[in-house]
Amino acid sequence: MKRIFIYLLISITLLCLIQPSVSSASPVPTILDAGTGRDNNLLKERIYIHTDREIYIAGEYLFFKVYLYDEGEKKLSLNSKFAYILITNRDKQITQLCLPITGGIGYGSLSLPDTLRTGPYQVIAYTNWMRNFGESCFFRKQLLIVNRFDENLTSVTQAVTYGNEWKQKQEKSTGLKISTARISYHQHEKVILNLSLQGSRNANVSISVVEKPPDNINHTDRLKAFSASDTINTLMNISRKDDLKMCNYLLEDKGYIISGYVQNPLSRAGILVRLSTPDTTDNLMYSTTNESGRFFFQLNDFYYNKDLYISIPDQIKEPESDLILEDKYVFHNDHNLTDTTTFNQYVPFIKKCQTIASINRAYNIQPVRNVPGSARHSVSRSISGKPDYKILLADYVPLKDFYEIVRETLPYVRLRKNMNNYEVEILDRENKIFMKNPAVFLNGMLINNIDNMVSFGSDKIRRIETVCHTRVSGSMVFNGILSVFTSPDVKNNLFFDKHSMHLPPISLINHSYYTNPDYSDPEKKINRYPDFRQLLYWNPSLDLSGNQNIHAEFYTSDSKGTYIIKVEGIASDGNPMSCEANFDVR
Amino acid sequence: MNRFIIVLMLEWPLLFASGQDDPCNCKVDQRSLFESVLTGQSFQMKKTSGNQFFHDGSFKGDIILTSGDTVRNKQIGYNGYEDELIWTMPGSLRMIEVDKETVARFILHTADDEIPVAFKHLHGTTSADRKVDFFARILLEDSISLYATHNIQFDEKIEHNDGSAVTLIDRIEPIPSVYYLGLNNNNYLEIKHLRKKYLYITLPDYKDAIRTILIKHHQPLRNERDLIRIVQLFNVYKIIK
Repeated sequence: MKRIFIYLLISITLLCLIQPSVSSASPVPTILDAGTGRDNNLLKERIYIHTDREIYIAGEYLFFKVYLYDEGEKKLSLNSKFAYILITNRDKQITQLCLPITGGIGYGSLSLPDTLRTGPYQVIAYTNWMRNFGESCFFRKQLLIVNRFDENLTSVTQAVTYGNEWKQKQEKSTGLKISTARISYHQHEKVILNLSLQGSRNANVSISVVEKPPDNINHTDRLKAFSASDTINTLMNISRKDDLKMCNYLLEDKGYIISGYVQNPLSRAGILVRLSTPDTTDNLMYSTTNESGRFFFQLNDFYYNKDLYISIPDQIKEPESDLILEDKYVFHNDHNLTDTTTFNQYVPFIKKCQTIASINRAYNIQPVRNVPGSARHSVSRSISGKPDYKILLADYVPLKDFYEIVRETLPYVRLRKNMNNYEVEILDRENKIFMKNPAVFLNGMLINNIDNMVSFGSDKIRRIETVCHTRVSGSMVFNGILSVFTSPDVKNNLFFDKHSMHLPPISLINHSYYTNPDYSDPEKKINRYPDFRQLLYWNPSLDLSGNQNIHAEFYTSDSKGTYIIKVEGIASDGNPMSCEANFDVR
Repeated sequence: MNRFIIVLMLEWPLLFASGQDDPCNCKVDQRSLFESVLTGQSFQMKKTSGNQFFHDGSFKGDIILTSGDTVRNKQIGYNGYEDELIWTMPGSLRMIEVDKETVARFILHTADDEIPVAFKHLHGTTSADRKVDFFARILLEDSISLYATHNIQFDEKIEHNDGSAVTLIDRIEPIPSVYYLGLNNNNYLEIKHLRKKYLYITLPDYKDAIRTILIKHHQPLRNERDLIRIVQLFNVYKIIK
């Protein structure tokens, strides 16, 4: 009996040793790096936002800078190229945006709606990849937004707190120094900031100079987002339940990813889904659903800021299929906002902010300068390649419908009525036979049937291009291509059935800058516009070199008070840094 | 000992009963998920006497597109007669002439034990202002690069009897490679013959410098390998500016 017990003990021990290697070969998901093909074990992305202020009046602009940090590499992340930013209160999402990230940095501004109620709000930031690890990994920062017309100020709260998950160690000396020539300035006087970075490091920093609230919030934990180890430990100990969600969200290192799934009672895998946009060239992306019915599209620059249509081409084969898109802006955990309490010392300051916001609104003072059209425009290569024939309907006498157009101008195209539907055939220029079921593109988009187009005459159709040979795009083979381009008044929705989806354009916000008035010229000082700026300076991206002094200049406004200069950034060695200084305007 | 084996055998199913699935259940290969697609048109190969393809066939290979994306592991071949990249679609075995303007370069894995052969789509002009727009094999890539064409040309029409009818078909044969020195800004210099004399004619401004270096290194020019060495010397001594 004793021997059996010993055998059992030995064998169980052996099994325990074998078990891990069999059952959980990979405790964390592995992703094959899109660029290099190397295995990257759990990219540890973390995000941090520097906002220009912590207290806003509804209707003002919120300026921000996003830092995306790679905890594994200990430097700014070069992986995700998009960050998602939400502003929420307890009840709902107020605004959302997609910010392009370049080299781990992105910045911009957003206009806070004029109608927001006074209360605590939360700015939330994450990448698509971070969604794999749950919302607890998202960056969260609490702001106070006050309605311009709120006189009671009953719900003014201690404005800024960070989520509990960001309890991190205090940053030690950063080597970043900031100074001004004086500690006190007059109104409309030039202030010169001197910035220096010790050592041979470089850094990219953001600077805000803003009027200090009476009881300034303690910012000692400002850079905890970067130096944290707690969150990473949390990631490594993800519960089994969370594990199962892994790989749901892909790394957006090449382009914005649209994901969704096909709901079909019979089979979900292997259904072809396609995406295209109205354009002057034929364009098409396609994806095949996986075992769980999911599909993915990785957009390139061509598809940004354009209407997108997603459809299932074979509706006869997949009659019950419905497309459902995944919402990237879903955020469930909204219980981190601190309770609202009144702090009397805040009230005069906030009332001043309200008055200034009203003045700025009355004079329509806009502090934002948008950088127009960043280089996110590209031309798609046409699916058709070089068309064999091209006709402009303006070169012909008016023709009443598409049937007549085909008969009179397209001798190599045949249009036939079969039962209730119209069918097109195109003559193969080499084999001299008519090819059935060619691809028909309307305004650059592949459509399922042409029945709605048959009534179109020369008044609606402008140009027709025909490819009279077999074309291939990936695994899709087209028996010739007929491309029809209409006048702008034709609605593209006509050509998509109820199973198709129309997506509003994927808009990426451009870089925007804060505009400072320039009082260098005495004539400019005599300005009939009031200048009560409380945000004197905002520079989201300033490069610092080691042992080199950098100057930043701005002018004070008419608003008297104490101003706080905050500098935050990340050094080339991956260390976060921040510093603060004060000066007065009298 | 027998008891020990029996206990182990009894416990064997436990290994699987308690085994957990991979947390991810899949390796997300974004590279293949979002791989660019090849575009082109159906290729109908002319009947010829003699093989039209480089190394007489098609091979597994990768294509680097002008967009910068890479399409991997496709069955491709270089048709030297038409100067086209031909892709054989899996399943249907349909041959597709890949749109030439979308291809920046391609790599043919001709055999497992051989070094892959890389071709580049040369696009530019020669010193004689002739347009360059064809595929050429990459021999050397540096500040001065070296490429070689692998074209097959029409020789004559010959009668072909396929049992039921006699038709006229093209007889084709490979022509000797023409070499191209790749300079900056898509400019190319053509070297038709592997002789020093022709090299000097091609590069008259650098004749003396080249001659000095070739003498110094006792470098002949009789074959392709010699030409590669010479171009390497050009790069080392930065002869051509």
